[in-house]
Amino acid sequence: MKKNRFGFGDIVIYGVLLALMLVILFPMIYIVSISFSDTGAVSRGEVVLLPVEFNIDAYKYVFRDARFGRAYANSIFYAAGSTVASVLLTGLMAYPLSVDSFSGRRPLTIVLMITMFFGGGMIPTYMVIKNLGLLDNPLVMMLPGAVSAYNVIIYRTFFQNIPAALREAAYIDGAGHFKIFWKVIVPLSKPLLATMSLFAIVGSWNSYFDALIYLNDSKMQPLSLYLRQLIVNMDMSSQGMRDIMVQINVNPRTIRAATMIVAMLPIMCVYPFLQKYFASGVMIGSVKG
Amino acid sequence: MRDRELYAMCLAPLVMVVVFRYLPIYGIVMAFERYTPSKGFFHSEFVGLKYFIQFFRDPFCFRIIKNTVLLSLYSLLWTFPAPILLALLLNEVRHARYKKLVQTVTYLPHFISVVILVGLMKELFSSVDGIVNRLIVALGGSAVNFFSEPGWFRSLYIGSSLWQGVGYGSIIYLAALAGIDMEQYEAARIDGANRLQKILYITLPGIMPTTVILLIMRMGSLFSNDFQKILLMYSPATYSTADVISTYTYRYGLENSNYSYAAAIGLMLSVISFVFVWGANAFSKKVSENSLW
Repeated sequence: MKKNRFGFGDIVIYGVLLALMLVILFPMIYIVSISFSDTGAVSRGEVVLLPVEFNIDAYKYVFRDARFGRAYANSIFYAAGSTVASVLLTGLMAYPLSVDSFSGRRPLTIVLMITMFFGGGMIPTYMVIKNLGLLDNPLVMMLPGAVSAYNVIIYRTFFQNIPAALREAAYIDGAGHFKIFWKVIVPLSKPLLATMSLFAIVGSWNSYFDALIYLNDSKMQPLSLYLRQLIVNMDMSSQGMRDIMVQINVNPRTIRAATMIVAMLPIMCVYPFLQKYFASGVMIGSVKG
Repeated sequence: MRDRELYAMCLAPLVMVVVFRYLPIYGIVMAFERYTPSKGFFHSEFVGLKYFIQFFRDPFCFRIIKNTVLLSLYSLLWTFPAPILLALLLNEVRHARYKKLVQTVTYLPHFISVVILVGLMKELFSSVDGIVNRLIVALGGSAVNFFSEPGWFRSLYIGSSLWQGVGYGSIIYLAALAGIDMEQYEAARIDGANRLQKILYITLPGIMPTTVILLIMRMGSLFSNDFQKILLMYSPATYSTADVISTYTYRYGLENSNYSYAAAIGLMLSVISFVFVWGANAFSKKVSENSLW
């Protein structure tokens, strides 16, 4: 087929998309530049696109703050725990539902589906968690959201598409369901498990609200809550920290910028891998029933 | 019986579902009780509809309902069509690498946390040093206090939603577009249809089922906004436009410990949301073949 000419319409379309990209990229580039710029230049408003008087003082400050380090470690811990809990529990729920002959298939599917349409809401959920004694317990960051009906359906659909012959072969060889799950299903579902793990990591890393209501102990705060204090409440730490700030030539804006960059770093690292998979993930989810 | 092994397998996840999803549903009874933590869901005093009536007598009742609905409606108006438009534009791009680049860039903000999103906004729009205000001043205007002006709240909220969600929202439409039979375009080309006609008569009808399903699903969230973002953005100065039902519930329930009152408001919200999804679905079933269930 002959290729169409690149016409006026194309120029408009390519131009609009270019403008969109610039609008999306600008705030991110700007914040990076702020974080690497000199304090004075930032407060005089000289930073527009690129760093002015490049330096890494703000990053030095961020890494010196013990609260930041602890929050970062907490976030890694919560992300790891919630991802393992979510993938494991969702897999264990989805596998039985993918077995055609399973008598509990229909009733259990209904039990799960109901949770997609009805929920207790914020306050009753808080009360249940409180009554279970899970306030200020790391488990509260890992377990409550581990099994979602939506994810179970995605897993189940994937498991169902694994050729039944493989399962049956293992069954004839005398394997039980646990063994089939571990030795047949899990190895064959690696792409799914990798994708869902990445999403779980990102979800956990980015969330702040559960930590806000369930964790009062500031030592247990994840990074998102630390950031919230820094950014939203503009709370600039203790007097001792303020002294350090003066000494090493930083101001709240460069610190906030640097903290945001360091906090975003893990997400930016997994983004290329996510991108490879998420289109398919979204599509699986959109399939009805 | 081999089923026993399967039941054993899903026992742990089922316990999680029962504890974290079903117990809270049962916990809704607290909306009809004068809930006291020491007495629990079972033994607190039953007060019937007291808290529901209290809500409608609440001086802020009208304001938070109005804010909730307006914010959702304006959001829907902007954030629903935008991804469709982007998908249509992307679909017209003939250079695969340019398309890929645009997708990579526009999907990125989706993965930025809401805390950082608000942090970015505060940096850009802050009243004194923000680059937006410097631009306004440089152009001869006077600086605007974006985060403490009630009039700016909705624009900031919706603008940031667009910035963050337009790319990711387009994925599902691109998938629907990929499902359209190329022969239709070929036939239209032979019949002499121009680009706009192809979009109007082939592309748009092709993504209609997806659009309707997504619209129905959006109906359910008409009474719930992204309140985690609002919580980070608002302040008492902007309550007059920014305070919505869920933020109000949060403040009353968890900050002021009026548990039962907040649970009652939350329950009303869920019921209304469900009615809306159900209504939209029934309506769509009647006028077209598209429905959720």
